[in-house]
Amino acid sequence: MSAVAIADLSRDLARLEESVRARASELLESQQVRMVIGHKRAWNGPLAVAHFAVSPKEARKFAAGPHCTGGLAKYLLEEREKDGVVAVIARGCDALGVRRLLIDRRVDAEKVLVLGVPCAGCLDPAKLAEALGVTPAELVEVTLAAGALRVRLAGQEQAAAGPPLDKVLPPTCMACEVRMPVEVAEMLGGDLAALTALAGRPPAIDLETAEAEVTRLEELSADDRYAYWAGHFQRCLRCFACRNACPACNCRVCALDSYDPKWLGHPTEIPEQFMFHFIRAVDVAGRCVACGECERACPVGLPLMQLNRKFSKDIRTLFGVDRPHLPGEHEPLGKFEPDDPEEFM
Amino acid sequence: MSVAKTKPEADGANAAAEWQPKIVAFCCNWCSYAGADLAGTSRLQYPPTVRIVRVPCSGRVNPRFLIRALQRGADGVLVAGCHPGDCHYSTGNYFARRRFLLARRFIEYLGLEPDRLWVKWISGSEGNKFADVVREMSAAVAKLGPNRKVREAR
Amino acid sequence: MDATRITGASLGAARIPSGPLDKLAAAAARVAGDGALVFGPARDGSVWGWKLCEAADVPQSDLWERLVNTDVSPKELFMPRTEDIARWRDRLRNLSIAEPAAPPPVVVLGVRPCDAASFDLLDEVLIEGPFSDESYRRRRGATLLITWACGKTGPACACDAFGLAPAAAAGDLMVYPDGNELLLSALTPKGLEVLGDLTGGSTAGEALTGRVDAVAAALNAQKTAVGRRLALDDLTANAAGLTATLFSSDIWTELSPRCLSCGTCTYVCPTCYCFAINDEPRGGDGRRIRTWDSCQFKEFLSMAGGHNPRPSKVERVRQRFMHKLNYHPERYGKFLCVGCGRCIVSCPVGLHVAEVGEALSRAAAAAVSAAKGGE
Ligand code: SF4
Ligand code: SF4
Ligand code: SF4
Ligand code: SF4
Ligand code: FES
Repeated sequence: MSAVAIADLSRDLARLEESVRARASELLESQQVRMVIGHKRAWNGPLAVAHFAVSPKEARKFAAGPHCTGGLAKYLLEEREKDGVVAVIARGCDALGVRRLLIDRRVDAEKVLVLGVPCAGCLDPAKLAEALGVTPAELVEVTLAAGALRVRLAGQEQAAAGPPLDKVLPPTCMACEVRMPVEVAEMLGGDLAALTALAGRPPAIDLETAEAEVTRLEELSADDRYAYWAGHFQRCLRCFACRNACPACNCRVCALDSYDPKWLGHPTEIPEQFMFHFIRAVDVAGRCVACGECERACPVGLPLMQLNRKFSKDIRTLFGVDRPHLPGEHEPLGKFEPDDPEEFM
Repeated sequence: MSVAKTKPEADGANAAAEWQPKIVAFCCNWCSYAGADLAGTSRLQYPPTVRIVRVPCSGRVNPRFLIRALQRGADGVLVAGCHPGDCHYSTGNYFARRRFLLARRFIEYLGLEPDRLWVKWISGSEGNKFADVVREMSAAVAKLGPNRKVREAR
Repeated sequence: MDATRITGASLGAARIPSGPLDKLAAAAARVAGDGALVFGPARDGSVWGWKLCEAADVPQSDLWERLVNTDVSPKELFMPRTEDIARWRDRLRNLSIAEPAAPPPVVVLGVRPCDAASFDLLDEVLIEGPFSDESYRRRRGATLLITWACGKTGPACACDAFGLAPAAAAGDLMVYPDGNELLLSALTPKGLEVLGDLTGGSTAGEALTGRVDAVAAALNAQKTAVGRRLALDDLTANAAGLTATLFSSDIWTELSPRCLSCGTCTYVCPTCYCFAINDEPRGGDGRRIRTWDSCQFKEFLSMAGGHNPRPSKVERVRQRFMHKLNYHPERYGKFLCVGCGRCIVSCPVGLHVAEVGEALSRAAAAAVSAAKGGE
């Protein structure tokens, strides 16, 4: 990012926020939609949280920018039984999440209006904290002003210059290919030159780099790999935040909750933890939209994307499906080729 | 909380010497189960390591069956179905093939031994093949030793 | 609220140099009993939790200068994520049932005052109530808590909003940082025994307890950033009808939509104690186990017939916060929250107990003033 682009970027994001608010008010005012789902500033800390506006007044609270992190598509599931249209202010990953719900027939296309917004990437508080040598909880306020990230820490009166945004993006954002969202009904901020130029650029890292950790794990010995995963799985609290945040985990009755058959036993010992993470990862294989929400939601830092990426990597090498989450590709596990590899069979 | 021991251990005195792998075989009703039946009626010899679960089609086998079997005491899992092109429901085994290509790589990625999962196409007339597969797989799994990594403590 | 929750009475005090704590750990282990296990904060992956320490890896005192608190609460040392209630064998022919062995004595080295106070809250519910939870009681009884007063507060800390303070006296033995030294103050006979063991029987007198009081008072004067924003007094006004008013308040429909119904907040919380009991039968054998459960899970209250009294997030989010901030205070006179801040840090959608507390106290203030106006 050149300095000029960054300066324009913060101005563009301010404009984007304005157009989100304006369009949301308009849609609510005219009753074209009954609710708009987007982000608003959180009560505490630097990040924004999901916001559900049902009146033009509430639409004034919408925010846009790199602090708007949490995924929004999944909330549509709770609105599915109600009448009327719900609009979603969608970054690329949100739009793919909505697409997932549509393909899985969990929401009705007539009841959703996807308003795309170009995305500069969403900051990873852990990375930012690390860059500043503090803990994530110490980040009080992060803005993108006067051309750079400005950060105010706990106990400080004044914000100070922080690292550039692209140094503190999570791996999912760095590998993201949909910063200009696809499959949207309308695009907001499509005329903002700096923002769309940035969002339209190829991802900061290629697939191979995104999968570097998978490759590293593949090269370990079996016992080391087992120790690696068992070590992570035993830390898992079974809070199910990973599943609940995931747009591909949209089943009416989840296997993990089912009592009959009881796929997942209640003990949290290693064999059941493997079962849990096997089920979650296998079930979203080929359906994962690579939004990284599972990993972001996990309170104890399980590297869940390394499970999901293993599948996308193998799906590519085995079946030649490069990007199963993007439009144009069929569900790789919902189809087959007669001459698929046989290997050990 | 400690991580399960990965080294094979004897179940009790002498057990190591006598230990034989337990294999759960998910056999499709139309081909592989008939093949196993033929192996039996033809009085073919194969090791008593295999427990057969009859399923309508290899396409019925969810990959999580594999972990469930390993959890509850199996040392290996065999998924057996009709040859590609011969599935009673036309395509079930093609879907199964994709799934288990991934599943085998995935358990390997989790640090389990991939050779605990076998997938074989065995027709109703291939009693011999069924016996051969059980023999070969028993030997392969015996070489791996007892599954400890995801087996429940009793 | 109750000032004795903060000050406590010292039974004896001693001074030790900062640095290695293996002697303190060893003394505590001796007092705790044969085979005592010592747990201390440890990093696991990217998070801080609690780990069994061997003599060699007992943390040094400077850990508590760097680490505000662990990400995962120490409650799992008393309420394990999975615990056996019983195991049975051969159900049909020759049934035998085995109960779990008595838990070993445990020393928890360096819990923060908020967490130490959380056990007092749990004790009231799980031991001192009409029903005593045997498993919890046995584990708690076999425990020695060494509490580390906070020299600085963290950005998500809110102990002062919930009737506590950064050096609130709780546990068996308090440790206060004092320059290059650590002041130890015994709050219970067990704590006093540790002091005796450590100092060879001579616990110092008046002068040192005076110093303890001064250091504790200075630490307790610290105000937390979150706490400063909260004014929760109205929540404990015990005004007639307050519970019903808050129960039907609009804030629940405003706050709940973004909740994911995960169990994160309840699982990292030191004062949440819901659990599930399930049988895990394996043929004729099996085990009855207790595991954590969460009121935030959709299925938490689902009944066999399919009815769910808390079908939506409005009811579930309300339950969590009303329990902590209203029902429990009405019954026990204390918030069921110690302001540790873990849910503030861990909730994936930023639904904070403090944010809810603020909204709730506004609603309560409105209700209280309406009630006054009507009189
Ligand atoms: S884990 Fe599987 S069953 Fe559960 S919601 Fe996700 S995809 Fe559905
Ligand atoms: S979010 Fe993390 S801790 Fe919670 S269930 Fe998923 S992996 Fe486990
Ligand atoms: S409040 Fe947050 S942590 Fe708690 S259940 Fe809801 S989303 Fe999960
Ligand atoms: S409600 Fe939150 S702040 Fe209060 S004790 Fe529980 S985790 Fe800590
Ligand atoms: S019926 Fe045999 S594999 Fe489908």
